[in-house]
Amino acid sequence: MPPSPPQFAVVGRINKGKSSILATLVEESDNARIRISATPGETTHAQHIPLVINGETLIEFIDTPGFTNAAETLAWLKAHHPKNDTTPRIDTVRAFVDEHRGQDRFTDECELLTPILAGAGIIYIVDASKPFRPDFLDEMEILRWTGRPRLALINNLSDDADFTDDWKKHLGESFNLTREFNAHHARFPERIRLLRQLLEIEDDRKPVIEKTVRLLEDEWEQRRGEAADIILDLLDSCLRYRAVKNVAAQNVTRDFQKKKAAEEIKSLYIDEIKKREAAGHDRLTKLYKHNAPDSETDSPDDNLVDPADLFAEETWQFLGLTKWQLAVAGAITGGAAGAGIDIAAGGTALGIPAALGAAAGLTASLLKGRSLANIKVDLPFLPGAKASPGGAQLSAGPSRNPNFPWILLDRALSHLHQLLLRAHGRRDPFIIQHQRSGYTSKLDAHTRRTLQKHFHLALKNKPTPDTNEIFQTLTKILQTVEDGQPPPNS
Amino acid sequence: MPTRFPSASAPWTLEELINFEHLLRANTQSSTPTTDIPEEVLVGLTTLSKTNPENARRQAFRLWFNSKSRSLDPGKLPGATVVKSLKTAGTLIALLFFLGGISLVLGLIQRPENTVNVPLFFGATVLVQLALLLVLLVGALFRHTILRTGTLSLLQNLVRTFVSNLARRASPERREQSSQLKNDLTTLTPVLRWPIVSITQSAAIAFNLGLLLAFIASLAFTDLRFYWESTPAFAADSTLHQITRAVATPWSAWFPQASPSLEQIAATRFEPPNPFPNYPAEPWYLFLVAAIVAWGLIPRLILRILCAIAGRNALKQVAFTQRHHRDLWRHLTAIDVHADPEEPADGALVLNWNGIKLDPDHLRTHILQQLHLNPLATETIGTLPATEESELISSLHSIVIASSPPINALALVAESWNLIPARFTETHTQLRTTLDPHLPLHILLLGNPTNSTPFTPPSNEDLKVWNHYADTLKDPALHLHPFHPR
Repeated sequence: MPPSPPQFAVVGRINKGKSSILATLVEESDNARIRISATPGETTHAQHIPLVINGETLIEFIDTPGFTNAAETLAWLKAHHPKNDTTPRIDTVRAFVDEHRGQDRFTDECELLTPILAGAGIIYIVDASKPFRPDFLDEMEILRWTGRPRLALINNLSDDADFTDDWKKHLGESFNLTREFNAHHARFPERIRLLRQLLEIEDDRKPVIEKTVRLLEDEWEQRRGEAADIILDLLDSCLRYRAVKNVAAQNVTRDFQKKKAAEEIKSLYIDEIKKREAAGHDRLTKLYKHNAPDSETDSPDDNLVDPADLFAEETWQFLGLTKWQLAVAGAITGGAAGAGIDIAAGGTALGIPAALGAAAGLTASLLKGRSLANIKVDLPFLPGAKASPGGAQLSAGPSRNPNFPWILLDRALSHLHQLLLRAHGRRDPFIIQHQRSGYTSKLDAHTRRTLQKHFHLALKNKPTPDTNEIFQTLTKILQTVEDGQPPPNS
Repeated sequence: MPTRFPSASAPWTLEELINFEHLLRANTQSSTPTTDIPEEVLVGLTTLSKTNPENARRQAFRLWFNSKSRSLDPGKLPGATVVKSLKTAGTLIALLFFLGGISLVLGLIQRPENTVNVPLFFGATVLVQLALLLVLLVGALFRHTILRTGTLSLLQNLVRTFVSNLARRASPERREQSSQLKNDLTTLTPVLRWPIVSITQSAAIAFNLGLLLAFIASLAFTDLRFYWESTPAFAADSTLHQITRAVATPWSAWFPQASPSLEQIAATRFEPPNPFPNYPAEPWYLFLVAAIVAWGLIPRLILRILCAIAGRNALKQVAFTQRHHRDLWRHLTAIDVHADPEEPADGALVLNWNGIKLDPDHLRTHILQQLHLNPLATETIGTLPATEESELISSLHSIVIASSPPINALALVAESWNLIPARFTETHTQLRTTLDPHLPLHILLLGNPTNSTPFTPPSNEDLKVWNHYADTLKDPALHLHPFHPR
């Protein structure tokens, strides 16, 4: 029979964020599976939450109802265990649970003490936004009576006040270890750190906890790779897309009809690109185990960009590369095309095509710059254009604006950044808010060149011979998104 | 007899790689892709990741390929056909070039005088192929720029058009197969490059052998005379001598006979209208044979050997880093992490007896805190005429059945002072017959409401009455909970 996994009971006073901490720790966003609310007493019974990795339960957490009657409980324990009694105090705790099980008065205490008596380690949660009061000592004392290894976690449920130092002083007297963990802001490194801290109180279960940490780190790395591929798919699918529509010849004979047809094909293109972008973002959201973000059309903050609309004017003003970065990228692409002609001519052109190409690329980028999405529309109505007698084939896309791929990338990175920032223990509305400054303009020149190469091929709808180079580049960018802060406002 | 498969660490062959790409693509594009990982791959992965993590992907893919191809008829996989086609094409091209070499030599011998213009012969047989080699080497060096800028797009388009025209004549099934194969081969470009370059070098070797064979045979059966001519004065004998010495550098030290002297060069100069010089052929034919061997055959042999080495290395180092490879690797090494929390068993249907005015949030808080139940749905009962009340209670069954998370208890909120035993008994009976009779029924008893709240504790007298009444119902799953403020 395999050894039972190490168990940790998460205990504390009612409504101090025990369930939030667990939901964040095990990445559970589904409120039906781990219930979290502002209502005190939301957790009514001890709930076992196994962390299953590759089908094996490696660690089991137990969410418990909060202490509601600690003073009376301690009084009972003291009354039934005189000072000169030499029997272990945990036996008295066990007697307490046996005697009061099923009684309304001590339901919560019995629920929370039962797993501890069965051998679970203790994670005691306090809220540092509220001051320490002496009645908390009763809870700490009861836990001390159990004799089980104890870790105190200082959660901070509100930014209004911070009594962390005061708490640390008191917790240090009753707990083997005191650490901080914010259930609403903890990210992957903090979660891993907390798991490692469990080693310090449960040394005899070291191998299994170390294995858990190792597997979680490997899985996180895999997730990063998958996220890079999702973003690559998103970029590829949007950059290569062209909207195509057939219209009957008689429907495009007059000027207003032609204008209308052009608008229609353009809007077909825009709708499809938005759909593809949303699908990519959804895949990222699922990969990071979040619920779909709530939609909010208003951006109350001046520093934020309306996330809903990729083609909104402000999106194209604030995201993507700067005008000069675009100019350099354009010059490189144009120069490379010219260099091709140079090579074809065996160098006899003295580098003039390369120089002309670079100048053309630079000028085009400067002119198009950060202007709105300038979508290429092919309308075969012009004199001399070839249109079949049965009608015409209209097409729209891609955007002629060189910033298009960079804006798509910025929005994907921004979406990912917010997924990474969002702790799974939060149950407030999840609103995606793009900053008015992206990541791509902060990338180094080499990284931008690598990406530009890929974008150029995709926009021309040419196959990318080696996707590994851009995959590696993007993986590195994602690592910086994970590690770093949101991009500073420009 | 079962097929023997190479071990995980064995290098891939081109045939296996093509088959691997084919199987991988077929599995990805299938409407029912197999997601199960063969046991031997799982076992292999565990060992590989410990012993040789760098090669783990290459070797794990080998295990995956072995397990997948075991159940297939090798004849149905395209690898052998492609490799065989390459060999056949290589042989045909080599043969063509061999004949080309022979034809070129025969064409360069001027009849009926049986004379050979040395500079022309040297240029056509050696210089042209050297120049071509140089262009190809420069092309290989600037390969990435050329591909990126589409400089070859005209050539590519021509080839594409030709291939498309050919493909149009094939059956739709065949076209589909060709398209798949093209995709697979595109992925294998870094590996496939070397066999293709090898074919060109083998063809060049065959060409040089054809030149030598035809030239030596012509010497054996014909009395060839060699000459050179030059109109401008600067192309004097000494200039040609310097050129021949430079060309003969590789062999002149140990084979001086194959490097014509200044006298020999002067003696073979053709100056019309004088007749062709009648000088012994030996110095020139030795020079030309040595030039073809040294500047034509040997470089191609060296390149052919280098191609074979590079091809072998490419097969050894095949990295499997493209999109579909990354997907397979992720699939094989996926780490499934998830929390598996117990389903909460505290779901309750709240029944408001007699329509007490209750704030839903307060009600939820009290039900959670006092009954340790989670209100999932709320209904008001006890306010309708008997028939409608009966229908209402019957409808509760569907609420309980449809609820997710499940409803595991009933929480009835009643005012303790408002007990009408006959009506309550009727409701209780209907509840027990409509719903599961063992479903716990928790009754939260409130006291007299105040102006500010209906949530007050019941009086002891009322509680006594309720306790007595509850006993008469003889319902072991019924529990009375007097409200007490927290």
